[in-house]
Amino acid sequence: MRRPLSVDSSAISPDTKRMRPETDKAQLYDRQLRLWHESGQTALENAHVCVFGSSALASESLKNLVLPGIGRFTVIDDATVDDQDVLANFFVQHDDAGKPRAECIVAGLAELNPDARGVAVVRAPADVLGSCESSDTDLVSSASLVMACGLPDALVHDLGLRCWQLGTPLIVASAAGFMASIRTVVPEHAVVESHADMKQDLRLSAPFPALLSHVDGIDLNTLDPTELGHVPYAIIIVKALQKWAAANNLTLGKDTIDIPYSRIREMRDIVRAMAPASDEENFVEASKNLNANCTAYEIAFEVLQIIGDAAASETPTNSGSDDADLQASPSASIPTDGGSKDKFWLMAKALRRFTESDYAEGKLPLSGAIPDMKADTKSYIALQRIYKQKADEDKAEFSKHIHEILDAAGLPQDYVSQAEIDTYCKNARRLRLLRFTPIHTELKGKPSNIDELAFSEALHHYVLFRSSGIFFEKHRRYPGVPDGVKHVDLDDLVAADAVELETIGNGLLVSWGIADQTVPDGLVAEFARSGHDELHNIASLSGGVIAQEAIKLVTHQYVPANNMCIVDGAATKIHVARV
Amino acid sequence: MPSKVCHRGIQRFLQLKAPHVENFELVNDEGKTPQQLLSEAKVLVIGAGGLGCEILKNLAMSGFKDIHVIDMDTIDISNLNRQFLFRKADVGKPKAEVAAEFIRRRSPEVSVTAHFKRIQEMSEEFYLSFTLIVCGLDSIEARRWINAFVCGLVETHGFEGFKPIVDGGTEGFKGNARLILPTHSACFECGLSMFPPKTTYPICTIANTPRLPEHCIEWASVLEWPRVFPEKKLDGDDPDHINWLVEQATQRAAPFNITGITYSLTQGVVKNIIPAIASTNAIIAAACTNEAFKIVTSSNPFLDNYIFYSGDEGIHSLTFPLEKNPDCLVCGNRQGSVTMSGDSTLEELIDELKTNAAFQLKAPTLTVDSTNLYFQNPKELEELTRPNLEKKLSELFDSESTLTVTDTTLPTSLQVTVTFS
Repeated sequence: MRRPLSVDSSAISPDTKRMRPETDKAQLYDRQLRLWHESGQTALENAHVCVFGSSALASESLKNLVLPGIGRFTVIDDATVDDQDVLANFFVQHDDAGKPRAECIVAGLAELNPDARGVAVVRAPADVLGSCESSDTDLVSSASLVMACGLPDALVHDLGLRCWQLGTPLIVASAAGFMASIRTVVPEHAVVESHADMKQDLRLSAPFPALLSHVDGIDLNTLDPTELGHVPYAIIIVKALQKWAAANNLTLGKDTIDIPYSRIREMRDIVRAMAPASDEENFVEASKNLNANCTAYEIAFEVLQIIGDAAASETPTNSGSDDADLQASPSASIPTDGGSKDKFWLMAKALRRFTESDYAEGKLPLSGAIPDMKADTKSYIALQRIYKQKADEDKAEFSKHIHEILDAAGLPQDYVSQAEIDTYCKNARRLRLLRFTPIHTELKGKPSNIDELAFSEALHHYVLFRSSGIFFEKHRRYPGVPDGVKHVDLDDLVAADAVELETIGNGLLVSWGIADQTVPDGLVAEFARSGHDELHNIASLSGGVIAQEAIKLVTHQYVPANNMCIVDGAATKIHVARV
Repeated sequence: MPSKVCHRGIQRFLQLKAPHVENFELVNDEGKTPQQLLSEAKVLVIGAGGLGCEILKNLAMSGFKDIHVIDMDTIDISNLNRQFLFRKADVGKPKAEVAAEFIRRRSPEVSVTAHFKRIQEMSEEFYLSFTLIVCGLDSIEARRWINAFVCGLVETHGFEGFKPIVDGGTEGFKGNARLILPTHSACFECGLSMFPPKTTYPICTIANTPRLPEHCIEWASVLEWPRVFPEKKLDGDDPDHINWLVEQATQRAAPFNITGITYSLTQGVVKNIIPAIASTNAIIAAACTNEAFKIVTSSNPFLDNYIFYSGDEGIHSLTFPLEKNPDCLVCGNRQGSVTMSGDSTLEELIDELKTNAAFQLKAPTLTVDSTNLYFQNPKELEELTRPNLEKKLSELFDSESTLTVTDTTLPTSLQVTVTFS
């Protein structure tokens, strides 16, 4: 399709062929590679998603995973396509009526991306789950992520237990008209490349020796106004701090690590006095960046929790959790290999040793990245190099710890690769660890975080989804759905079922100790009105949320939501809560 | 018959009492049922890209029967990771036509009309014929234009010209959807300052003090390309062009020890590429079409008036009413104001109108009291007014003069008062 160049093509480099976008894949996936890079893409392509259910909720979720190139997907369902499916599920066709729905959506989805391999298992989910326990090579254990779309609670319970034991992430979703619920379950999820926005880490208020000697090597008094206008703001700030410390009989690095906000104004005056002109850009940048660079060095609490975790301690226990509720229930114990061989935890242990060492003085390895600063090329690149060198030294120090740890554990030195160490050090400030609550215990008893849930806007929706599940267990039909035997007026049926749904919901609230709340009539009526049918828009919206969460879980990049998301298409609101 | 028209789940919401809608009636003032309103609604989808493909599918699966889609773009290979109505064999074909054909094939009961056109090419009658408009555009410029045009319809045609706009936008794991009721609620322009102007690099940095790989890429594309190929327009989708830039930028960077120039970064800088994924498009497009469905059927209250979604770190979402801006250039008093030194040049004023978050104009043409200050085109007028660019503002007009400004981003002119500081 490319137009040939109309002018002398010799002006274009003769070896452009060599430099063409590496592959078709780089072009095809360009817009997503800018988010999760090659590493995330490889993880996605090596992943196998196993989906129970084949409704629009399932096919819309899968669409968003097949398009970016998930490696394999399996759809498990024994439903056959009826005339209603054709109207609701985009990936079945008019002439599919009567065929197995799992097969139809796999065929429709496979068309979207030849790189994603899909398989349909035309068996009842209950059947497949029943045979799981007897076999180690079953579908669930081969999956990197499992999804349950619209399964009844009894099956969610069994699947939840199975996945929890395997340590496999599970996303449970169901939709009822304008409402949907999306719940993620996995014992533990660690993220190195969280892409979290962090404050810059330039360590200006306590400069490391190489930075200090670099700053001392620059004499601002000898520079002409043009040169002065090209000094990077990091250097201006350190100079200003030195002046401020000297004027107040303080020592740079010792007394300047956490300057009260009220005194930063003094520093601003110093910066202003140093500037050759009041609007000199680099001095304006220095002023603007004073606040961010004059506060005490802090390790994010998420990272403190990780290095303070039992799994990163000198005697790691098998379970990383200290949650008494979870420990109490034997079936809920964390089955992952917590401390011993997990690379994340081996490196977390090394990270703890690093920060505790005399070398690091309580700091994390420096990432080495610096923001752009108005400066001439030479000054900026020189500064960049100072930070890069310090980051390399930190990394070397960190590597010593990890290699000692590997030795002690009887693991080979290359068990953790240099690339993995690089990524870990670079992202040390933004590590994340998520622990979710199990769903099988929740369905048999109470949600694990009632205190939190009680204050959530998602509470009533959650209660009504649970109530609908209980209604189904009792009547083998969802609220508002005619049983097909006796003819009833739909309005009357919905009204009657709403009354029962409300009773169940308020009963749940009482049994969970949230007796001061009741489910609102309007919301109950909205659930009863839905007949637990999927609206395409809500299935599609939820499919987007589910796929985002699945991608984050599979790539270990960005941060999944912990642990439930409620879509309310009636109020156009999306709530997140921990259950 | 009705059971064939739309899904059972939808039917329930068309027939059963809506608990959250005040004064719910099963037939409206004109005696129409929600089912009739849904079947008869004529919807215009603007954009057949990532959001557009989703919007078309959702409308068709929600019971809408008369859908038009307009897009001036053709299909590129990099669209296929999310624009699921297109296949590899479709690369190069018009998006609107391929998308419409796909939906017609999948859902023969739905009429889908494609327009392979620019939105600015369509007539007022065309826009007046719709019940509502759903926008899935990635360009701020196009969204501004359609917003201003549709807001203008209310003024010229009263209630007949009242067309709700449901607008969506995404970037990476983030996105937003909003409902604009022209003249009643905040319009796109009212919230313009929420979109930061595109990152630009000062020419002096590019020319004299490059520090980042981006600076070297800009040097190659902004300075070197027009110098070496004065007659040829740079095409960000032409791999030969991008490769040439990669090479030039790499050579530029080497002596400075600047690293990190890649094909992907180069194309990203040149085309100002925004990351886009299928899942975010699904969320935002469905939020938009869900509003379209609610507006037409009154099955639930509609969005008031903005929802934000971010999946970067956990899930964060917020629904809130964006306030109308009384000074809005489209639906407010349309009085823009700029304070600048009288010693500034006209060129500096034009730069201000381009970079100021409240204006973000592209190529403004300026007149004051019927005097032409600067014209972007035609060529003759541009040449005639070009000398004014270097003149001081105080030489051209008095402080607190009101300038008439026209720009491609807006269908009508605006008034900007310039005060000398």
